[in-house]
Amino acid sequence: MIGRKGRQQRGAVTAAFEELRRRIGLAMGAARNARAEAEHELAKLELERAIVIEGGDRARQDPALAPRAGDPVSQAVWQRLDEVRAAFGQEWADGPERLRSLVAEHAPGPAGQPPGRWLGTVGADNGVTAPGLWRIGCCADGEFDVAVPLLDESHLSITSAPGTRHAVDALVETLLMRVLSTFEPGAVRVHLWDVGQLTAVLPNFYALSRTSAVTVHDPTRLGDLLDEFSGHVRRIHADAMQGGHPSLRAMRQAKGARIEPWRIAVLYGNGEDLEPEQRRDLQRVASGALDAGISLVLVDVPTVLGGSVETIKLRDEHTATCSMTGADLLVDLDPPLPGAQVSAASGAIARALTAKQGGPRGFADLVPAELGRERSVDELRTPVGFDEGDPVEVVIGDATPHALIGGPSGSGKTNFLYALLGGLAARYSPDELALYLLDFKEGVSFAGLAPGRKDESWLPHARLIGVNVNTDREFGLALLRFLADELRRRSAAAKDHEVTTLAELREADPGGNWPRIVAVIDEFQYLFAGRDGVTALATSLLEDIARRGRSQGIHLILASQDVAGIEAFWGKPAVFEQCTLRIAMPKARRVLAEANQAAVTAPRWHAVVNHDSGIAHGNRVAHIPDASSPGVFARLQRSLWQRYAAGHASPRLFDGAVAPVLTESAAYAGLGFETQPRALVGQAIAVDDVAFGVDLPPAPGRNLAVLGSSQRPAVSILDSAARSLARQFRQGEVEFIPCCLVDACVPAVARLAYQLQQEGHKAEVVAGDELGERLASVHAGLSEGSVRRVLLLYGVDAALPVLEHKEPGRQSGLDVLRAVLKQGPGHGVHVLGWWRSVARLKDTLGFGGTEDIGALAALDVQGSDLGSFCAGQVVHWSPRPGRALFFDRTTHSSPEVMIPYALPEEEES
Amino acid sequence: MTAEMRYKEIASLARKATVDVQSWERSRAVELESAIEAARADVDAATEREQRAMTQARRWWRMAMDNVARLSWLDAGDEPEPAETARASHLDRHIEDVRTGYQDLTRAVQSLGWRAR
Repeated sequence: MIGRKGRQQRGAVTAAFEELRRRIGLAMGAARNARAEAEHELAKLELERAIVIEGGDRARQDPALAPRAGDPVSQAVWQRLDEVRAAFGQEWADGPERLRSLVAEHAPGPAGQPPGRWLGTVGADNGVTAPGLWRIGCCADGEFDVAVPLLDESHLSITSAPGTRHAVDALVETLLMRVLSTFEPGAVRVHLWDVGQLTAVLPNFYALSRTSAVTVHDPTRLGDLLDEFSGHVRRIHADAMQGGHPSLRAMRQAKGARIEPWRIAVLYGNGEDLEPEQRRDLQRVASGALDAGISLVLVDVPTVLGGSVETIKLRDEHTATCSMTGADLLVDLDPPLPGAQVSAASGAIARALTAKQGGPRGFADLVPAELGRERSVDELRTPVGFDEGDPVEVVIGDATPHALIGGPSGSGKTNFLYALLGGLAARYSPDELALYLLDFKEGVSFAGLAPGRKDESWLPHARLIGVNVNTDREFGLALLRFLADELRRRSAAAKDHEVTTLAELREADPGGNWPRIVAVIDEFQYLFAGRDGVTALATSLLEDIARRGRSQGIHLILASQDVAGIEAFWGKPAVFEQCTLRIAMPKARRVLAEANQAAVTAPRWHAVVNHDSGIAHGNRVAHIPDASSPGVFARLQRSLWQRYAAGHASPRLFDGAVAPVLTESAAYAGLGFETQPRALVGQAIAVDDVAFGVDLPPAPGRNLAVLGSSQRPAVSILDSAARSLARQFRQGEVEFIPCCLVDACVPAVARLAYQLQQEGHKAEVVAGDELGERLASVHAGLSEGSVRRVLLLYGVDAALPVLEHKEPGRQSGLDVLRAVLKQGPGHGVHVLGWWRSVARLKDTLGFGGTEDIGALAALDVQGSDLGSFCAGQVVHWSPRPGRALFFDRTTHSSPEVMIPYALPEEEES
Repeated sequence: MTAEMRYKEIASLARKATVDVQSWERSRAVELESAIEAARADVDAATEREQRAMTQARRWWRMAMDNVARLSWLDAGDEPEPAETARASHLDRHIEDVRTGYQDLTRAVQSLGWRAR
């Protein structure tokens, strides 16, 4: 037994032993834990290294490296890396939200919203502006939307990966459906070309491919498609530039209207290079396409395009990388649209488009809602027809100052002219646009634009309307002279204001009346029908106006059946070259460029409108609405007349088939008691209402001879001469001595004498057999009295046999007549005589007496016989019904054609 | 600025963050190479130290067992187990504590009277 002390001693040993055990355990534990901690740290570093080498994003997807719950090493490392990543991503923190907002703002409606909200509905956007972005998918599990620019902004280049063709089709289909569903039908045209497929490119669009919205092109004809597009680019660019706009988008925004449809070409390649020529064409198109509202979507076409291009590279069927987000971010592409729903939506859009186009447009569609709102400072612009429901415009301005319209008879030229004139007149007030209209055809195509018996209205823009002038080429010449004079007047005014163009002149002289002048000459080839002075002069005037008219706002619209036949222009292409606006009616020849066959295939009631001198790329085929049926144009004309007639005079109407009326002429109305009387003999063929007259001062040679056997005009000339003279003398100041030797004219002469007597003048008709005696008395009284005498001798040649009779010791009647002709005018006695042949006049006058005939009016005689009466000139004249050749040696340099006035009995009818 | 440009500008921030992270990852990978080398050396050293500590501990334990071998009334029990909660940083102190513990044991054994033995 041990004692207490022993127990204490044992207890101390036991305690020390246990304490030692504890301490050894702690030492062992500390050593193990030190090793474990070192291993843990190493494991963390090695895991971190593995993660950063693979990349955090990819490592997160790697099962060997991905975060593992319950693994302290994994948790520690990923926690640290997440903290680092968060520190780097501070700036991007609100990026996803900002991108979502941006896409929501710039990809509204079908452009960005889920398909369930819009697929199957027809767009209503009028297309003045386009969404800036179009959704294709999302990033980072839907954290933000991925969208690409397209219309007006960028081309798109899509690169597929093996086995992803369906995904590419779905991507393109969704994109196109978003575009087609955004805008109203017709605002977008899609062109599909697939190097590997004849048809069935995006088959869900089949319904649209039957309309203009989608066109599937032949895989072997990429060149044609590119030609078509380069034509659009040039034409649209030219139109925009003419209007002072850098791009179609700018023009749309300035005008507040969609002028052209957007065009999207989807080109499916096979990853192989295009042929060099096609590649060049494609690059050319791409470089100017965006400014023309054309976007290209290239699928597996390895070509570097000019202009802005966004790229989408598919990695697999669901994901891609995109240049919008960069190569580091993976885009989850939107799932394909359900095929059946796309087909149904295509059908709905196609039906809406068909309904919108709704058959042929009418003339009313060419007329704007408000009349006369446009200004012509820079140009004239109007739609003349429609292409698939879209208006096709004609621009007359700096780039296209003059127009050439061609087409065989019945092809619709006149209808086109009416559509053009209607569109212009509806847009521009008469202060902005003045029309001079001339039709060489037999017919009255422009007559309705002047006041008529049935309709008192007129087209207020028209200043001159010439119809039935097919034989009066001089009238065309007169118009050209007028335009040349106006050109000079405008040039002088521009010079005074130190400016060069009409736009500048109008700015410098805001109070001046400087409308743009449009001169329309239908069947203008008649103007150059002969090899004579008229043709020569018309050619030079036309060239002058064509060259210089542009800057002064004087524009020619020349219409013809066949321009090739105009001999006067052979070797002188200047006029045609200035006509950069070409309008070819169906089957028209030579109006467009030689290789441009568009007119051959143009259907009836259509026209090829070309602002590029007829080169194929400028073609726009337009359906021209009916503008020329009875009542169609008249309704617009009446509206314009009611609006403008108060401030504008009615146009001068020149109708070659109607004889002018003396009493209605301005010259007759303006006659008074002048000291120097003037006998009016006929109307001049001129733009203004001008009469030809023979001044009858008391001077030698002031007699008038009317030559030719044609009775009506001869009587008319003497009649109008007498009536106009009667108006210039007070009672008793003049004595008319009519003598008619042609039985058929007796009633007319009697009527004239009666009328002259009614006006208070002495006018006793002298019988034919008393003529010699009356002449003798007149001759005898030459030196006495102040009364003027006017002998009106009808058919003098009939009196010659009697007058030639000579009695011994006395002067023959012929001698007396010669004496009166020679001496009479100096004493106020004038002979206004009608000889039915030139030879008889010569017989009457005798040797050297031609000087006594100061003025002549030739009817149905030959010009070659008239030389001696026209100061020895070679006279080009052959008889023309209803026309006379007038020459007054005191005022004329050469003879001019005139129109005798209607006889009084014709006036009444 | 067009929507396209704004989109790219914002998206570029994501790209920038990604690029920066990638750049950091690349430089971190380089850093880690030397850090891992050092850590491996630390592990080797710790392992060696652990082994040495274990050997020392076992030696102390055997010596202690020798001291108490003739004490029939003392139940020596199992060998000491490494303590889970022991702090690695206190290793040196714990080893020193073993020495003093042994000395305490030795003194206690020597202090035993013959009856108590």
